[in-house]
Amino acid sequence: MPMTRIVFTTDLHGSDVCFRKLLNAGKMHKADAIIVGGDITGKAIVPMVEEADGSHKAYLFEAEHVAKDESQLKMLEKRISSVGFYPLQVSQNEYRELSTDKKKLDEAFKSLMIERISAWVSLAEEHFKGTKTKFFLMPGNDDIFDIDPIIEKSDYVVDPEGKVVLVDERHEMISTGFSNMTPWKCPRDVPEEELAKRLDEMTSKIGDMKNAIFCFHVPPYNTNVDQAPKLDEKLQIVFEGGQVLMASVGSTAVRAAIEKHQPLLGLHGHIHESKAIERIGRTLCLNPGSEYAEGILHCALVNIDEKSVRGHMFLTG
Amino acid sequence: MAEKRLFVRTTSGLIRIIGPFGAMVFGVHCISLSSSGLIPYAWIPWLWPGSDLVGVLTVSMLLCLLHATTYSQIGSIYPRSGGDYVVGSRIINPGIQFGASFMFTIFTSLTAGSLIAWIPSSVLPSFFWSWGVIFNYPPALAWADWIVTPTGVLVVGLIFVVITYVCMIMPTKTVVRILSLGFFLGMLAWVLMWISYLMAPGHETFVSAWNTFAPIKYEQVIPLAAENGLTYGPQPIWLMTMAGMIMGFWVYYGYYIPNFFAGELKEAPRTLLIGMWSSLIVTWAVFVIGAVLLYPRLMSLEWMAAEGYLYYNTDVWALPFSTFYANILWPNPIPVFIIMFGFVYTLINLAMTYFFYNSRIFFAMAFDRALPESVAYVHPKLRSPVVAMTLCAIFAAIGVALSVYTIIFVQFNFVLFCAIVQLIPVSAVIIYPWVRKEEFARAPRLVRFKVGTVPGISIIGIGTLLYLLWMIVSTYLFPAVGGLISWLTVGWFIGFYVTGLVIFLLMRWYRLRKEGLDIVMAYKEIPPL
Repeated sequence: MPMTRIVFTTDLHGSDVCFRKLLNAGKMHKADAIIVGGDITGKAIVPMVEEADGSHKAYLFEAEHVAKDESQLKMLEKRISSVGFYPLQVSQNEYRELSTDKKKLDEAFKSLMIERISAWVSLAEEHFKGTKTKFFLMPGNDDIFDIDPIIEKSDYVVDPEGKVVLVDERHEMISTGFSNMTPWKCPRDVPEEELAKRLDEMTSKIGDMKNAIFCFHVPPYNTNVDQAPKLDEKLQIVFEGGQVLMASVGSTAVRAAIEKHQPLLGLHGHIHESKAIERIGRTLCLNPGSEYAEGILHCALVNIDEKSVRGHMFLTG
Repeated sequence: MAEKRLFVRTTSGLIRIIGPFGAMVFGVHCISLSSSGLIPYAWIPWLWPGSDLVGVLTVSMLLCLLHATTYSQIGSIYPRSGGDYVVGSRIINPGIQFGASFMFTIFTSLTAGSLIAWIPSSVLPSFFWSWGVIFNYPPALAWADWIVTPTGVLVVGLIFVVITYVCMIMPTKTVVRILSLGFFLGMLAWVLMWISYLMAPGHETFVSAWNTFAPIKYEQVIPLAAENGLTYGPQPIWLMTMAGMIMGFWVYYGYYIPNFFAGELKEAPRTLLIGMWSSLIVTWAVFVIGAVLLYPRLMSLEWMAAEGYLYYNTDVWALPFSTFYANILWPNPIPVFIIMFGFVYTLINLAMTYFFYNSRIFFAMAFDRALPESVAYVHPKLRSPVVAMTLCAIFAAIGVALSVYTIIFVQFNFVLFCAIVQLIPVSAVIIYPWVRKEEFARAPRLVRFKVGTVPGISIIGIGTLLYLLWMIVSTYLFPAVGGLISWLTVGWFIGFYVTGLVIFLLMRWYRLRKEGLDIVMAYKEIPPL
């Protein structure tokens, strides 16, 4: 069996430029499979408020931006999208409404997220449908459920959540974007017990565990790939002597599943700062990290063959 | 009118890490309140006879601010572990930069050893001598005599290498506590030294104290140095001060170290700039206050030069250390002990910072698969990169031995090698706006600001480049620091560089053959489709 090349990324958080870089990385490195491991929607809407003179004003990272014409508006929208946020042209009245009406705001978020995910699915289809490259796009714990049908609708892009999919003729992959509970109580945060049940259900369906891939968004507990800044009860970072204290925030259920089943490969994300690899027994677990807000793509290139992980490396661009 | 706000969902947080204070503490430790607290007074006056010490410290600091700005920009372009290695490898060429960074890492690891050797060769003898003479305790004098012997420096130096290594493989929380304590201890030591200097109303008091405790009379120092070859003051002050900038660069070396762990910094551009600048300004202030209190109040620069010259070039008794001057002026066991303990402690902190940033460079190289994966191994319980730290410790131990049994080429020529190595990433940032246009357009403000139509990063980069070139040229023009640049010096430079390049090429070949991966891909830009 020839080698299979996987390009894996995670935590794009709506960054349009990172997604486009991912597509290019898939092409540049002739990927057999492109896997996006969760957290694909953005965190903020940037209102571009129409002024009396027809220009639009927006604030991005506390800097004021004014778009005076259509082309400047497009550029500003592109800049906002590249850092994972959602540009939204609004009038003064609409802006006031969004500021006060949570339901309207939630609807706006939903609509913008669906629009961007649709665009991404279309892009992936445009560039890879009909080729040998498989494309897996999985929502993560930060992502609302409303985007799931958008991915499901595609006859090319696959949402691997809860399923056993084939990365190639030999390697099955099970995936979940659900995570153990986080302080922010995200849409797909569940207690460890529930997560363990989900994992058990999926692992029971795998035929060849030693060649299996676990694409679990949340990393295994107490490893190099789950280290995050420690937070206090007010969700503030705990500092000591000017330096942040780190803590393990991964999932015990994920760790237990990996320890028990010893698959070939673990693909994880969730903790942007924890770009690392860890070996749990024979399983290579990796987290490529994320710098989506800077427009920097972090991904992992993994070559697997019929027996093992031949090689891996982190790419950044 | 739009307010300054976004509409933000409740999601997992965007979290970054070390802030400006942490970066400043790190920079101060790497500059070192102890090592660099002794160098200006013990070396500069005799290495560049006639130079003005405050002038050297001030002009150097100002130029280092320029260099610090460039390095803040370097750390901001790709804020992750590895610093200038990441920038140079991705913008210039991976192999060329790898060779340079490899050489840099080896040399600074060796230098960490030679800095650790300062503890037994300079700091502890000063302490024991002070203790023995001031408090009439002869065994301390015997310890002082033994500890400066080659055997003493080697044995005690190696013990401190082990201490540093053990400190660095501890969990982060413990390392942070050690460094934080060191910052305050170091500042306390300096405050006590200033108080000691201030306790002497004038020159006569210092002379009297010196003549009480030192075996060589104050009046004998300058004539003895002249007899033994010191020629003082024939060159213009401005020229010697310019030459002294080599040592100024060495004194302040370390402020830019946060760029090697920029990936762990909160709001990297702001933290880097504030952290680096503040560490420079804080240490400048500490050293200049010391200088102003010492000369010409208590001694002349010529005398300071003579004392340093005697110590480093003759067998005549001398102890040209700012700590000793403080001890004899305030011969009280409490401040004497605190000062010495503070200096020894912060020297260990200095070595710790070298171990720390070298491990980050090793990490970056291992992540790029240009070094074996085992180099990036992190101990599961200690959460410490024990393999990388062990490598640093081995090189540091070699550095201790080299500093004992060879001329201190590692330290002095370090400036030359450091400056040459930095030419690559600094050149990278000068051309960055043109070779990575799209990235530049999205870069943080610190990186992408323009002066008119010209990118500021290029202007500042050119200034830094000229400063580095001056460092290189002046080590040739003014070989007082490490002697003439010999074929041995060039040989070491080329040898280490070529070794790094060969390792890179071998790893590339190995990975391609065994793993089907070309490590050069790790350095390539990935443009968006």
